[in-house]
Amino acid sequence: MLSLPVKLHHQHRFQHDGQRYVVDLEAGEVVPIDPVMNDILDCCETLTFHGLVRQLRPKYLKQTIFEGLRKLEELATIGLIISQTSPNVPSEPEQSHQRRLRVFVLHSISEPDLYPQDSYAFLQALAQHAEISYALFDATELPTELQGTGIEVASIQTDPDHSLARHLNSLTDAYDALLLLKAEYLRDLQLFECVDFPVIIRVSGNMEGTTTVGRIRGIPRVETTINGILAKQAAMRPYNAIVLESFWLGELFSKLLSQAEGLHLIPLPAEAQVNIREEESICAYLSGLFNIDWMFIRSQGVSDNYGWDHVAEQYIQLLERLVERRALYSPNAASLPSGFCQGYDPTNGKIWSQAVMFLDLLKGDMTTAIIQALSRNHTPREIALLLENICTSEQAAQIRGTLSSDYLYPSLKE
Amino acid sequence: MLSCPRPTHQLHQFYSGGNLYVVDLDARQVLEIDSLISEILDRCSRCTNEEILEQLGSKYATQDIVRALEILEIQAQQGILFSTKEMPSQVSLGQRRLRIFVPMSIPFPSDITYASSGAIVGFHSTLTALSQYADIHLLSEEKKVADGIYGTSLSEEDWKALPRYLRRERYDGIFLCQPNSYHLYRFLRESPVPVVIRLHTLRGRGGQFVNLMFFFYSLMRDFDAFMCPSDFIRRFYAQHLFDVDCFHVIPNGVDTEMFHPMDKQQTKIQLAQLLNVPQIQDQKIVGFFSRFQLEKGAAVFVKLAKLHPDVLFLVVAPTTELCTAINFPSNLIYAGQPPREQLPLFINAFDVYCLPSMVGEETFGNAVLEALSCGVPPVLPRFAAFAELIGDGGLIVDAESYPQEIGSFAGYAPPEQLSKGIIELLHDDERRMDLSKRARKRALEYSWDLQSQRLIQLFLKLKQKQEITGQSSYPVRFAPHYNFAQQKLEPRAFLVNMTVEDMEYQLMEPAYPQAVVEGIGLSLLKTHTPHEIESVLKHLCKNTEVAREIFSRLRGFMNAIG
Repeated sequence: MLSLPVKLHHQHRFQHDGQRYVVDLEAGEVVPIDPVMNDILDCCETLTFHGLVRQLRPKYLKQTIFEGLRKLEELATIGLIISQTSPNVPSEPEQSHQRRLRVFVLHSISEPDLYPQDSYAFLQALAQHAEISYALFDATELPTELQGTGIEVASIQTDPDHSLARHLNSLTDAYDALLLLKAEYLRDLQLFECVDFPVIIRVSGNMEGTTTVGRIRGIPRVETTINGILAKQAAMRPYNAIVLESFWLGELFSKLLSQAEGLHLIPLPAEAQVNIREEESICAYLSGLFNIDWMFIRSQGVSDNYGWDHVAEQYIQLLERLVERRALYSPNAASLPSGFCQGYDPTNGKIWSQAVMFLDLLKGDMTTAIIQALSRNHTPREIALLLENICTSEQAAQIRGTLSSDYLYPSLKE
Repeated sequence: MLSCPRPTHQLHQFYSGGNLYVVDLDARQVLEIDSLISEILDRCSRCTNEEILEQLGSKYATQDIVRALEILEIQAQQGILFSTKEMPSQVSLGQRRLRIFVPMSIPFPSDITYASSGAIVGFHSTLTALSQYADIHLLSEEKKVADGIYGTSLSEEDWKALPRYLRRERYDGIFLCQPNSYHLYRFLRESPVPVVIRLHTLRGRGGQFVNLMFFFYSLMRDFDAFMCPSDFIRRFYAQHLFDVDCFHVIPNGVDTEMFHPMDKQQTKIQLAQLLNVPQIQDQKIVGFFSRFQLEKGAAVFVKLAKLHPDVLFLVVAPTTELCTAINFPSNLIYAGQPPREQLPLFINAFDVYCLPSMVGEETFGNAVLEALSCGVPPVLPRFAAFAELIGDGGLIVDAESYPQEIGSFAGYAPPEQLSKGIIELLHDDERRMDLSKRARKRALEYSWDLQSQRLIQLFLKLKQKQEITGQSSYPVRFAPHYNFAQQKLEPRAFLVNMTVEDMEYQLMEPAYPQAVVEGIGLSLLKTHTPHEIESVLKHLCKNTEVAREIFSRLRGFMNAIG
């Protein structure tokens, strides 16, 4: 991939009959370009790779941006448009610990225009440590409880042309992290696709104050909660996190998963109104499946002086860790491009699938090549899951060895 | 001097750094120009030279304007700024002649007088016929190879930036005459235009060809295609591949004017004199016209001769040295291989044509078609593409065939069966005459011209297909899912909200659960072709039928939302 920022040749760009072109005045060549290449050329002299992706994310899918970069790189290798020599590369902006984190807070994705009062105390506490922007939909004024707390308003218009995804895409350099106050079953999975910086999703152990276990489209709510967490955990990059607010959730996931990485338990403070009876009924529902001991969970309770300040501090610590990780993160080092095809073996008369490395047309192991190809678009956790499911443990161990260790085991490095 | 009005290419003018430039979008050229040329370019497509002189006369000296028009004429001659005259198309298949690039690793066989392979004859005839409708550009040092067939050579830069080269040259399609080199794969991977690959060989040679074909198949996009001379090829691959829609049956042709029926007795007398073999003129003749090698059934043909000592067996082939181990009976005459223009005379001397070939490469049978065209009825084994080719213009006899076989011999034509067929025809003059007429009629259905018209139509169709080919990239996630009924974690794939750009106005569910294998297929579609996904599914599913079902579902899904 191009190492950004780059220096551009003296050039002229224009559009003709809907097609964009760039004229390289140094090489005397005309090259047709697509809109994403045009937008990349607009900013690739000043932005770093991540900065550029952030800048263009509102308009394009990441894949499209990468594709644009790849095409430009192709041009650069034949001496067109871009000088390969990169000027003194500025490092990513330093994440100074003195600077307060800028956090974009979103209440929920399905009900973005609800501002539940039970979050106010939490937000007030958080605002002591970080710069908070609270997403308000079709409104410009904070609820009175939040006024004077230093919390800013991020006003969002909910018309069809300004969808939430587009707004999130455009957050770019303005924030360090996004905090989603209310998790959902699967809809919030998209957050990871929309923003390129740390995302924390908060999962409540209280099911909306219902004493019995609620249902969504016929599925018991507790089941969608659990599977929603599993789906999000797999989709999370190393700089995303899920915060569980109830001891029973922490207990359950420690039993369900051998590695609960990315899941953090930050219990609600003593002053929060936790519906004990509801949690008890959920635990009763789950006890047969997971061997959950309600009395044990009750005994884990927080002390009386554990307040919102304590909660906020833990969040800030977590956020700082994630921001740091984001700066260090790089996707799996690009493996050689490979293709998949079938082959006939005259020695046994069989046809089977094989991988072909395009550089030298050598044949390679199929499963390894599949995993390598998928690792460009999938998280280490997803890859681990696939390794468990499409190959034997020996094969899996072998394939793990072909992936960069930074990529597959980010959490082990801590 | 440029004579106006003269239509220009698509042009774009701009200032940069105080200089004026014009971009020729068709020739992909940038030229620095002065304001005079700029003003002429503004006018030259609608004004005459006089009008230009009149309009610009007040601003520029006449001699400068004239000089500018001379400079522009030089550019025009080089094909820059102005369109050169388009070659008139003889049939209107499109608005203009297509430009087709044929990156072959072998030179174009411009002389086929002594060609001994149907493939070479086919290659020559296909491109020659195609050049009536399209400009063919071959990899060659020569500038012009034949009428409508031009040579082009790629610089090192062009090879490095192949897509740019192909776009710059404004090709409409790429035609690979056979997938004979792995290194041609880049044309499929990087071509911005449809690629058509001609398949004319099939089995044998340890599967060498089939492997090349599988490789090219895997790289095909939805707007690339195989052109095969017979449906037999399509059926053969349908045994092994999921997508048979990319196979387009376009049969070879035959020159029916050159290969025409002649008076049998006159021909025999003429040939008897030419070869100095008097028996030719008064005996019934069974002819062989192909390479006389064991794979083509040489030994079987010799056995037939031994079975019928009263009939003359005439071998027309470049050599018999490929099977010296066999003793030829006295009623088997080797006639050599005459130059191509004499072939009709030799073939017309046959009363019956027989090709007991057992190689799996008989995907068409150019020689068979030439016999048909001369009105000589063939007796052929029920094998490969023979029955499909001859229709009711000959006799098909039972033979053993091994349709699954890839690497080795694919069948066997028993001499007894062929013998029965031969006797049937030699002893029944009326039947033979009737078949002779049908044979000629059948041959008239094939022509090289028809083949090239179909090929042009195929290119146009693929271009259209390319235009509607959508993106195939949707976010897919993998996650464990706790199955409460089964009380266990199971892996799952989710297709995450397809309307990701528009979260609040979802028309669909937030996520579609998929089987893991299906998810892998969908995710890989971002970077791989559907045919590559086919290999992946076959690898992961073990059971081919399951893989086939998932493959067809994925394709349907892609077409629906892509």
